[in-house]
Amino acid sequence: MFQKLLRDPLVHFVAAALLVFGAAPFVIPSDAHEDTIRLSRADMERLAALYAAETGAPPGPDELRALVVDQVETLALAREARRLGLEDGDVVVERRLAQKMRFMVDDLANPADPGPAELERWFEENLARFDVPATFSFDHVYFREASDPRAAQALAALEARPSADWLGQGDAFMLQRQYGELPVREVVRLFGAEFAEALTRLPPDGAWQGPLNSALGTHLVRVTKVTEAASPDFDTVRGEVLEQWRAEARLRANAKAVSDIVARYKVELEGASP
Amino acid sequence: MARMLAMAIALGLTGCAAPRIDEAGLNPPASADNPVAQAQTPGYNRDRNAYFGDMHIHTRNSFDAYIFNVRRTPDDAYRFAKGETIRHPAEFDMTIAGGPLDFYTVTDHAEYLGILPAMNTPGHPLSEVARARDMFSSEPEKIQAAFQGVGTSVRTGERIEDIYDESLINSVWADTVEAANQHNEPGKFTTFAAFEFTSVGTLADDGTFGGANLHRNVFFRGEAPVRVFSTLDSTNPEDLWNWMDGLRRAGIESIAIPHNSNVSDGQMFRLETFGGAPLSADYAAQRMRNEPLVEVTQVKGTSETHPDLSPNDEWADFEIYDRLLGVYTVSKTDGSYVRQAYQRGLKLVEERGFNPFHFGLVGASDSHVAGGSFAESDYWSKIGIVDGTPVTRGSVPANGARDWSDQPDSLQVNNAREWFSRWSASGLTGVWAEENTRESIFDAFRRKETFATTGPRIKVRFFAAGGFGKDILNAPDLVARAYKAGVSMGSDLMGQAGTSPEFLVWAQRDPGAAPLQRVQIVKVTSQTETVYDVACASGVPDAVTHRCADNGAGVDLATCTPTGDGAADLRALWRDPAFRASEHAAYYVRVLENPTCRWSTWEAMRNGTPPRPDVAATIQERAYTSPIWYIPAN
Repeated sequence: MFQKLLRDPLVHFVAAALLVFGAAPFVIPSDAHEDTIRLSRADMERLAALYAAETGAPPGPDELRALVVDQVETLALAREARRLGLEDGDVVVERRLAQKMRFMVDDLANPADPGPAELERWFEENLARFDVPATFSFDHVYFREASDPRAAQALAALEARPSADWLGQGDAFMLQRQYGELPVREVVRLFGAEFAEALTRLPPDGAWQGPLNSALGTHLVRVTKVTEAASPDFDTVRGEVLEQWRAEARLRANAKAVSDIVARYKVELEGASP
Repeated sequence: MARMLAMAIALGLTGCAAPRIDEAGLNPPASADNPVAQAQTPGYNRDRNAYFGDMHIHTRNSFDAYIFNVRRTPDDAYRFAKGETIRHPAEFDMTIAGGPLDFYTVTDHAEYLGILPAMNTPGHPLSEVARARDMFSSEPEKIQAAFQGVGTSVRTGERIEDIYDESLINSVWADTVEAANQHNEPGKFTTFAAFEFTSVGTLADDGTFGGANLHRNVFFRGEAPVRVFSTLDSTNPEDLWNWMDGLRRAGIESIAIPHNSNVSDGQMFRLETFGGAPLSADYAAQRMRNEPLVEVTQVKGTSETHPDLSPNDEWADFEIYDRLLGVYTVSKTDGSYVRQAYQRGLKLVEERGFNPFHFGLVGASDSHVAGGSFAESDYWSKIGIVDGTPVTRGSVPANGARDWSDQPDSLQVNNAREWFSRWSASGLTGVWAEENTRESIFDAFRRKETFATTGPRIKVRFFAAGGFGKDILNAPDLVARAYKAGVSMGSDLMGQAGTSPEFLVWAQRDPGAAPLQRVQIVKVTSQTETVYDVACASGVPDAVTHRCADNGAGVDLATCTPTGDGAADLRALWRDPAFRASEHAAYYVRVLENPTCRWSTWEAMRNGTPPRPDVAATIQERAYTSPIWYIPAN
């Protein structure tokens, strides 16, 4: 049997099944009452021991609470799934069933779209999500070595004669020498966080400044334009707003469906005050 | 007959009088003097920008991902690539390392695309068939048998008629295309309609899915066809190319990218056709027309080369993974690696005048959870609930043990040892393209101006010419001059009588990852392969050994903190000291970062247990460029 399993093409699945079924003895509740989920002290100790084995440290009060909440959800969903006959009359494995129930709930949650006024109100309440990020337009002169003395000389030359050929200064740069309306996160990706941080503090007055160190070396920089983060007009982002509304509504509906199921059960935790 | 009919229908439905694509027009010269005459998006750069993407992503619509409890959709996948947080099947959050990507592609298995979700939807007709009841029952043996049947069907190409619902597959494909179109934003974020063709070389007559990986991902430049081509049409990749050729004649342009040649059991770059016939010039032309690129690094290991093939390459023993799909059998090395394929291609050119292995390089994750893990310090592996925790993927000992001395002989432990612990936090594709649009990026694929990385966003340029002039490395307009004087990665350099060509290589670190240690040029001829260090973090390569001095970089394994210095920007002009004007050669660049902790070491450190002893504790992340091929005059 073992050899057959080893050679099985579905070993991925077998492993998954073992993970799921291997956990079964720990999650089958000892209580037979239909509408009561009871976690005994021993059950909770087992949960804590499992947690410790997985993570190498015993759970603190917060972790323990989360474990218990999760376990109660699991058992409630499993009961509900069994009530609907998903167990198929065979060996019942609570976690597997709870997962099935969760997937079913996820698949079923399909809230109706909001009206225009409601959507706009939601947009106003969640403006930050749709902010157009701040951008920076800047030119830079690059020096590979952070301590290159040519940087100070070049800065002096460019300050003395702003019309000087800045593109002829410094070392060749692999990417662009002029960036237009680059969002901050792109600056971080291209130059590193240190440079991005320094760049945001420069005045957008078109004067050469620096040197500013980056992950790539050092730079003279002139910021030609800064656009502040701004909230877009509702009509221009209506489609994206609706997409995000739907995503959130789905999450909310899924969470509610789970809590509705849990609410059908009375939960008793031994040793806890009601 | 049914298959041919299906193909005819596919072509007929999509052939809407589009202009025939001129073959020559598919491969414009890599010259910045030839910018495409189109409206430009912000960020357009005639010297080309480096864009990074992952072009190999599975979602719930892949038959295997669904069984791994993956429920994320193509829409979720694109949101992940743009920087949003999505949920792993093992109930933790995934956010992309290194910030949003520039392009991204969902490539679900074409075989039974979206069928399993339907089989698991109460009320759907497919949930009523016996196989569905078995597959989603609570009995492991029934589940295995049902799923195994699907895997066997994918491998043999024999359809399971009661679940092969072509109209459902077409509708899920239409949704996949729609998700890609929805998320495609010219100038900001590029997507492609794509699927995976899941051909498996036969391993043995045991009726299983296990076997040799001959998978290909198929990408559409613009308009997509109304159906996919899967092993249920034909398991022969050459039939896939015929299908793509037919679409191309109808105006639908695509490329296919094979992956995991490392576990192809020697079949990906074998010297005969799928059916065992000798290779021909027509075969080579068709293969290169349809498969200009190969995926060289991904979660299931490295396909560059193997220590047995490259005993003189000190860096060849890197993230080697050699188990055939779904079994512990070791894949045949010969015929499975890219560097050897380049060598075989050059030998074919010299002896027979054609080269079926004239391809460039890309990297991808092959994540089956809708989002790739690219950082060693934030790894979640590939197949959902099966390898979703440090214990199940074997970076920390099972059963809460504090060391590796007494691991049980269990399926989970054995799978982790043979498979999951050897998988990698890799990889990405880099392209040099004028702008972040489908057209610009796809055209970069076509001219093979691509490179692969094992996760970090290392940038690397590579040019060759008769000569660049000695001041070019410090010229402010270096890139424009290099394009003008020579050819870039992915191109052929035509020999000029009596001249040894000059190579210009330039690498820049990922600001969010480790600094660079060295840049190498790998030279391949029909007879030899040689690795030359060409730029060092400090000093210059030794003239005799062609090696940089040790830069002393290391890692403190107690904290995973890197030690020692490295470089941010390495550049060199190089001539081949062993150049022979009459000899075909391929040259590609390999860039090495300073050492960092491998993902398994990060997870062990967090667990307070020793790193797994049978995998490397540290790795050197790297980038590989597409080659430049030297073609002798005459």
